[in-house]
Amino acid sequence: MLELRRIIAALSPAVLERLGLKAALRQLVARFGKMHPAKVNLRVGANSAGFPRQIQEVIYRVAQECLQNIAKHSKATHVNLLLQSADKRIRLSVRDNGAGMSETAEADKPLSFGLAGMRERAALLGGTLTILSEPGKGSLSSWICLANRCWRDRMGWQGMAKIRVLLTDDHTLFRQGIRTLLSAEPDMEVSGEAGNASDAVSVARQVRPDVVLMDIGMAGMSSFEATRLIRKDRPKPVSCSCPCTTTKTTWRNASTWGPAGTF
Amino acid sequence: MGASGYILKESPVDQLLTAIREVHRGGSFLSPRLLTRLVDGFRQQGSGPRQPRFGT
Repeated sequence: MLELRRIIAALSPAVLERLGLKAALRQLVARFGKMHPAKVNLRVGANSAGFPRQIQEVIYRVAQECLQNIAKHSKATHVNLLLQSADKRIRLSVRDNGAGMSETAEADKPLSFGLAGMRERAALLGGTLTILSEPGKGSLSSWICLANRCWRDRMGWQGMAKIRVLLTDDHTLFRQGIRTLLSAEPDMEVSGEAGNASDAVSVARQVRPDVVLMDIGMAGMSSFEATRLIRKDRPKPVSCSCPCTTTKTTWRNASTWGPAGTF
Repeated sequence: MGASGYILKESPVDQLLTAIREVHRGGSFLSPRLLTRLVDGFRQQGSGPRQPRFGT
């Protein structure tokens, strides 16, 4: 098995010769997209074409392994694949918001082909591969190569950027229930609550949420007016999602007022 | 300037989570039951999907 891995590692991915690193990574991401629903955000720094050939190969292989692991084991919805370089330091990081794994999980499976292969590959050029992961918090794999010296990733675990949600509902219990549900999600957090539409507008100004959940049919200011004001406040329009009641009247209102920009 | 998504309070939790993620990504979301009602509404108004006509 080890021998086989060495042979695989020694093989030069032909795609690199043909397309160059940036396009090869794009192709990798496109292929990943065909077998996995997660959205991959790929960012490649400007001077990647100037990396030594061997470095390009390791970057490609590590990225490939990371995506394969995500496809196989994680239930990620978002993946960030980032390749940056500054001075003589090159950093490849692959971050996902999937199931994550406990630190012991890797030790429990010493024969884990993917991770061992990744480490071996990463060590080939004196780089360091760090994998940070926590159950339920996704994982971050990062390969860093500083000239020819090993360099330890000192970034530490940083939580993923979460979707910040503002809850608007006149029933406290309902808000609490939704808050509990969203808190269990690795990629979401409740950043504010409001008991009516007019409060929602002022809370949204303070907490700048990414998504607003707005009940329809609360007393006072109409939810549609509040939604309009919240979107107007933001230079980049905030997205609003309305949990609405099921009564026919409410829905008729919704289809009259709300969906103008949606449908 | 309207909302990007509409979901019913009786929807399963999974739908709410999907709606939030989808709307955050810049997409839109409509509960399947609302979609059914909307399509029915259009049909009743006569502006809904029509049978394609091929040259006579």
